[in-house]
Amino acid sequence: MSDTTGVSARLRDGLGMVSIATPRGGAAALAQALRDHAGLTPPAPGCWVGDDTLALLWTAPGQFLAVGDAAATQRLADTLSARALLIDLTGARVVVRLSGPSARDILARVVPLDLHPRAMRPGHVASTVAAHLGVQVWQIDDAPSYDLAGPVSYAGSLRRALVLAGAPEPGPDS
Amino acid sequence: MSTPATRQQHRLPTGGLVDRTAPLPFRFDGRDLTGLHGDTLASALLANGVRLVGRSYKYHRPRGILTAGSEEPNALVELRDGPRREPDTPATMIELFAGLTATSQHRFPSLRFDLLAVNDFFAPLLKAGFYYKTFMWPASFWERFYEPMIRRAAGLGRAAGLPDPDRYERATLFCDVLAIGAGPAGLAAALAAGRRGARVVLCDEDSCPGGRLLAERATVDGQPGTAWAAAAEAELASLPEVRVLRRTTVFGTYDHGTYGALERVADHLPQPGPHQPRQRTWHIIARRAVLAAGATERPLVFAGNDRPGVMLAGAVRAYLNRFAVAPGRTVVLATSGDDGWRTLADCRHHGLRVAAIVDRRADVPPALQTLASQAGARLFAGGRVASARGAHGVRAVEVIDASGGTHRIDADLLAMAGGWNPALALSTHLGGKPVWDAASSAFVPGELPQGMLVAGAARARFGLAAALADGAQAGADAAASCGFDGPVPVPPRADPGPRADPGPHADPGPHGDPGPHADPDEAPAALWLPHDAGKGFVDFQHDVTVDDVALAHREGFRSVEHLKRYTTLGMATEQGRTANVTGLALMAALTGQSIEQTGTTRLRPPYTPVSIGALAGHDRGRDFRPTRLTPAHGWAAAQGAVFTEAGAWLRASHFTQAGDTDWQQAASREALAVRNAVGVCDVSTLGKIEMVGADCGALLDRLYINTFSTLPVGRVRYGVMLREDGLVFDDGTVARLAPDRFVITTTTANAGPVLAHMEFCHQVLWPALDVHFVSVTDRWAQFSLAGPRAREVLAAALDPGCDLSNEAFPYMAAGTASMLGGAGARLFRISFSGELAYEIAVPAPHGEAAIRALLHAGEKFGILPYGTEALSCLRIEKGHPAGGELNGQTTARDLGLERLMSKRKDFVGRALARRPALLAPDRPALVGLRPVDRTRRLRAGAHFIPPGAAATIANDQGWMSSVALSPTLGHWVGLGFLAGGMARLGEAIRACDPLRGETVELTVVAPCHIDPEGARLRV
Repeated sequence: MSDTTGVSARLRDGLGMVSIATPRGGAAALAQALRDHAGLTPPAPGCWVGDDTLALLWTAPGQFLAVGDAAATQRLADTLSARALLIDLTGARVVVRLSGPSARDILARVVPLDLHPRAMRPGHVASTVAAHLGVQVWQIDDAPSYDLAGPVSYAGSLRRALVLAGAPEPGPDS
Repeated sequence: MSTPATRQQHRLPTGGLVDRTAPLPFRFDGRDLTGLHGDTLASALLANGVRLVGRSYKYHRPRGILTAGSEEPNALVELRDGPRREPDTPATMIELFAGLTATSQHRFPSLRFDLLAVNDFFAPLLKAGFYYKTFMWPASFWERFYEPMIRRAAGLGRAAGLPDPDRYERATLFCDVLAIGAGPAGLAAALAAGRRGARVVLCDEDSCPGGRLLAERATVDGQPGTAWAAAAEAELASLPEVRVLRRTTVFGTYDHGTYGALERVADHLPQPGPHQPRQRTWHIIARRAVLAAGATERPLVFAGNDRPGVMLAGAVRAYLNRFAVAPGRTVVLATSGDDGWRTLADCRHHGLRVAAIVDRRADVPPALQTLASQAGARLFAGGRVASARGAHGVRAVEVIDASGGTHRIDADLLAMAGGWNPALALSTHLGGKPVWDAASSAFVPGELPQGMLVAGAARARFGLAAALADGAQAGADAAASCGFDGPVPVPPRADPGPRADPGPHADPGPHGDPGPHADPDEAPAALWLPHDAGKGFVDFQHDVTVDDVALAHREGFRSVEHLKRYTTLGMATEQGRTANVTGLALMAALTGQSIEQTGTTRLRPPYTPVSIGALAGHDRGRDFRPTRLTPAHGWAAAQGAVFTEAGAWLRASHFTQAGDTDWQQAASREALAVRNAVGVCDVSTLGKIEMVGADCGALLDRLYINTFSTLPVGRVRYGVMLREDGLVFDDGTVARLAPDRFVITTTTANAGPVLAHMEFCHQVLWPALDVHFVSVTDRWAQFSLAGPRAREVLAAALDPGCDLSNEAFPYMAAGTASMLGGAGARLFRISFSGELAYEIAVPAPHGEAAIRALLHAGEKFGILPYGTEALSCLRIEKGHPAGGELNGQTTARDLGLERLMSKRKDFVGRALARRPALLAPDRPALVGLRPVDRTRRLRAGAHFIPPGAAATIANDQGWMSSVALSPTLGHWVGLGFLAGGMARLGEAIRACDPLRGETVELTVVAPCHIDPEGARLRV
């Protein structure tokens, strides 16, 4: 992790990840389970809720991606098992956190998203393309900080695209 | 010692936007010269008295500088040398920097003495389209002489021929209002929108904002136009939501408010800074755009209108006012309207003598007549220029007066003012055709792209006051459309610059638009056609003359699109900006049609040339597309793997060892290890899709030809998927891990398309099905462990407690296991190789550790890693279809898999698979092939011909789809599709390969060449 360019880039290692979908007729039960266990309301389209320990990203109607600490996502999956359709994706994505005043300019070279505060704020998530790869981008805070998730098999190409856009080489989690 | 030519003898002593304290040395055609900061290469050359800067495309006529902008057709130079050398760069757009080197083009041996100028003598033979009528005889001469000769003579400029050392960038920019052009209209629009708080982007191709204000002696709000422009830019810079992009050309209009723009980040520097891209392409997505791109002046057409020293009047004023350069000392002004007369005032202001004014109008306003006599200039009202004389530069001008008398006037500069063409290209890129406005003598934008407004000269509102008012209104309207309201903008006061004496102006303007401050510029110059000017140039860059337009008409190429292509008018780098309207007006006159009826050619992006590097950005070389690596890639590279590309993936093709002479050795070694002992292969690249939900079985039954709803938990089954048209799409395996959980595999190449197909079926065809599925290709690293010793190796590699006996885990079983001290793994007993085999899936982060564990466990059995070559050999030996057989043209029946097609359920492709042609008995079907002579090599792609028949298409009975050298059998084996298929078992056939000139005698055998009973699978 280095901070010489007005932005820092770090790899979020060791994350757990679970794809969650709603079984037929099970929206209310799933929402209840999320509130009871994780204190989370299912996010609206284009939004995410939670924090670094456990975040829930909206990905499609009735579908979410849980991202966070490996133990926390495992506990969530165990609790939801009867009330959700779950597929474990732990280790399938590389997640880079970009943070700092230059993060918007750098991301503007990588993704075709409107990152202006009037258009995208903390709590928003988008599916888009970066360097020919399908990625998800979600805003963490007003630093601004963003998480960028892409397929782990393309990790090398994604990191190279970020470096070419002016980010420092993403380093490991400190 | 400086020669006269190095002393800027044409630089005016005062004025201009140039810095006389910052002289810049530069070199042109080997001559050392000096310019000033703020110069373009063109203005610096003119300052040094250099008028001859190039040779024309076809006739190699001497050419000078015609314009002061990006529409320059003549002064194209080669800029820099070495790997950054760039051809065809307009000298008018090159910002001068210290040490700049430029060379003229398209002449040998020198600009002054060009051997190919002889072409001009042969001009009658080189008219438009001459190449359609020549170079035909004798036919043999074409390749040996004509083509190489034409190739050497044609073309303009030469590429650097060396790798480009610079980097380029692409980025996206969103805004509410995009103002295109930072002249008075664009600046007014940006201010109006920006002051209301809208997100504004302002682009201009020039190095600083101002547009025509930089070239004219106008005043705005009581201050010089240049000062007003600078103040406007400063205000825009202070607004946090406004972004000004200098040196940025908006080159194209695309769908849904998307615009392409090119920013020349570092072209004005000797080289880019250490972290700077040379150029940047912007994708600008704007809710509204104001096109304020101004207008381009029209040349006049007469013999010799291409001579150095003949310039557009607006350009003459730019050189005088902006660059403080006198392009000549004695001027003839030829004009067709009031606007050109501003050149008279500017010439006098800067000390040039105007010898004559030739105004096409017979009735020149009295105020202007007075000006002419005060200046001591002879006025030819109703006259026209007949020709400009002087080969390497204008020396005299021949004028014909209203009564037909000729006059010869000595002059070294001829300024032409033929009216203005709105720069409306961006308004037409999405198909809207421009409309001829007779009152303005100009084309104006017609139907506009969604979200675009046009302001100022770009829609023939030519006056300065009109531009400011138009721009302010457009900017306010654009911002209001985006939800930003505010007071009605008050445009600044404008005085376009001295031309006429102040005094009553008789002409109220083309739209009868009076007002107390009627802009004297509002009377636009009419489009006057040439009179007996056969040799006059219409398109300078492609050497197209009036005669060529007449020739096209005579030969029947009368539509504008035919005129363009037959004469090449408008097809050069400036895309006819100074030629198109004149050309089509000539054709209109010849055909007797109106200009509206004649219409315009279709303009397409880019508006000005864009380098390919800027469009590519970082997608060059290895970064051209992303690379996909398996979790064990690092391990494989360390093992001596040679990689092959499978789409974006890198897969190990084979593993070299010391002493290997070719890949075949490695592949055979690996294949033998699998047949005789054990081998391990990284199969992580195959698509893996996990599916969960109550209706998984139902969905799978509809996707595959065979049945999966009946698959027991803990079992895996081979499946075939068809396209809707009944042809085989993909094959793979489906494993059931729980009543409501399945894992399916696909081929590597079809992983994406299969997932897309499944998503379509679920979301569009059967949305009520209760299922959820995602790709888990990246979630699991997967390895195939195959060979007679596979069970022993696996047992040693897994954590204790897994029963791998044939009873507990038979062929086609699926389950879970534990590896590496607790990592959850999945186990599938499937075999592509035909040997006892298992596929082990471990979480991706454990991939490298897993294959190391397998190899360690197999060491004592002589385990080898194997790659795709050995994998391919093994499956061909067993007759399994793969890429060569699943090519999108074969059916399940062709592949011998008809028995898998369920008759009790519907599935995608079932109906169209029953089309009669797909059921024809003689349709080629899968067979195995074996050479009669066991030493012969087989070739995939060879076609099957019966013995004794000629190798012709009429006798073609099929083709060879896959071949392999079998180390187990000691000879080549093949798979192929033969008419009649397995009914011809045992027959003799020939494989003919006309590309390689080989023929091999074959015997038709069963596709499975080894262990046809499959006993080795089930141990």
